[in-house]
Amino acid sequence: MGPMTLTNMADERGRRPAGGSQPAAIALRRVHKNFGAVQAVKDIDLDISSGEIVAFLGPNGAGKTSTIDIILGLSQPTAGTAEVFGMAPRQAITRGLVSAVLQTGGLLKDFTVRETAEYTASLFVRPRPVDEALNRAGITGIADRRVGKCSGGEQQRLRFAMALLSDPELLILDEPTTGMDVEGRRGFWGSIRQDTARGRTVLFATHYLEEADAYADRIILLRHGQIVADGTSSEVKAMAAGRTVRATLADADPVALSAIPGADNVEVRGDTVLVHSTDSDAVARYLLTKTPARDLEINTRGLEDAFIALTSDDNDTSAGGSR
Amino acid sequence: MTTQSVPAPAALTREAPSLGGFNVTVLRLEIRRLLRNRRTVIFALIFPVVFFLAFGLNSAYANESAGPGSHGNVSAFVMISMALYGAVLATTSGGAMVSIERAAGWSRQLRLTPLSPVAYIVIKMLTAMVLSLASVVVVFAVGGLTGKPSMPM
Repeated sequence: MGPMTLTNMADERGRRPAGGSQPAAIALRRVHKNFGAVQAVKDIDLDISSGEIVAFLGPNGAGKTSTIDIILGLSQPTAGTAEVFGMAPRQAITRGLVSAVLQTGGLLKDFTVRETAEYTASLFVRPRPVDEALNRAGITGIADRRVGKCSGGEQQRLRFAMALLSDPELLILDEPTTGMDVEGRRGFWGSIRQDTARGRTVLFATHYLEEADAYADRIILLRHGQIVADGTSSEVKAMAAGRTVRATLADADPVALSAIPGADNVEVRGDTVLVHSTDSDAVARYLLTKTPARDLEINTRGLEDAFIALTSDDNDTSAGGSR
Repeated sequence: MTTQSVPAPAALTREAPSLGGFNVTVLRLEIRRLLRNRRTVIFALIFPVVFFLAFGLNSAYANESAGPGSHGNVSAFVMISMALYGAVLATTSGGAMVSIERAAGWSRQLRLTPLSPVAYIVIKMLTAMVLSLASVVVVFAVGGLTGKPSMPM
């Protein structure tokens, strides 16, 4: 498989395998999690099929980590059920079906990199060779270094190597590149991308929007413990933001433009009109057939705008969550 | 990159380890790590020996009887006391390690592996007991080499 651009990858992965007889990689049913009076997760239903690359996107406190902890069996849901490959999360872990790179997973400073990996490997029934995992995580060169002397990025790669040892069917990454510099982040995602080419299911939480856009074929936006959007990155963008149609039109009539189905915001700046709409096709068709408009441009707002629109507090979420 | 390569159902018939993940590799790595910790080695292995050499060999009292009715001399009494001190210190520090690892988040990391909590505690206990055995052996070996302690049956 030759090198591919990110766009290519997203296109190829766009297809989602149907459930079939294979149990879903992750199945959450009406999951709630309360910490005292705080509802961290509110009624989440989620199915992730084998082979999907899914991003959990949301601001801090949206419930990403709480949901991941439930999927990994690190915490019990207050209500609802969580299944991984058709079994309880802990069972899936003891069989080496699931592994994770966590934000909070501690490492022992006085082990070397290789010892840490050997320790982890010895706990599984049929682990992959330690050297192979170190190699795939790109840390063969520092195998004999003490963990305490490794940089944050190197420690994160070690956690990634540990997660590969059981050759899991499902890999979960909770904000895996937090605190890495740009180069470290790129290298880390390069390793993960090479690895996921093998057909592993991946769920990662992030608040780096560009990461979700570039690496996931499905984005799930979380806000206040609820799923507010679920779709491909272009679907999520369109769901929140719609598109803006810009055209050159002399003597535009804002009232007539506002009457176009789907148009929710009309701006006239001299000879330029900007119509924001959830149905940009209808606006374009109207402008081109019913008015002398020219120089038509249609722009999608970025994922970042979608993210802010869908997750900010003062937003009416009725537009999202359809799916 | 292909969604066709979904794992064969055979991949889902994987097994969980027996004994909750307990194995000799982990034990070996834990002991090696413990011996690498300079503070542990100083307090559990070197201190008892130094104390024995300082207090157990003083010719003013070393050969005196350890007490009425006892068969051993003071040197033997000090040697056994120091071995016991080393052994107790080694096992207690082994217990403290569990809480340190918990605070560092290592326990949470281990929960992503098949290792069961019981197997983890057993590994920690065995590691601590191996160190305490080492402590006793070292003190007794040094005592034997000095030839001072005597405790005829």
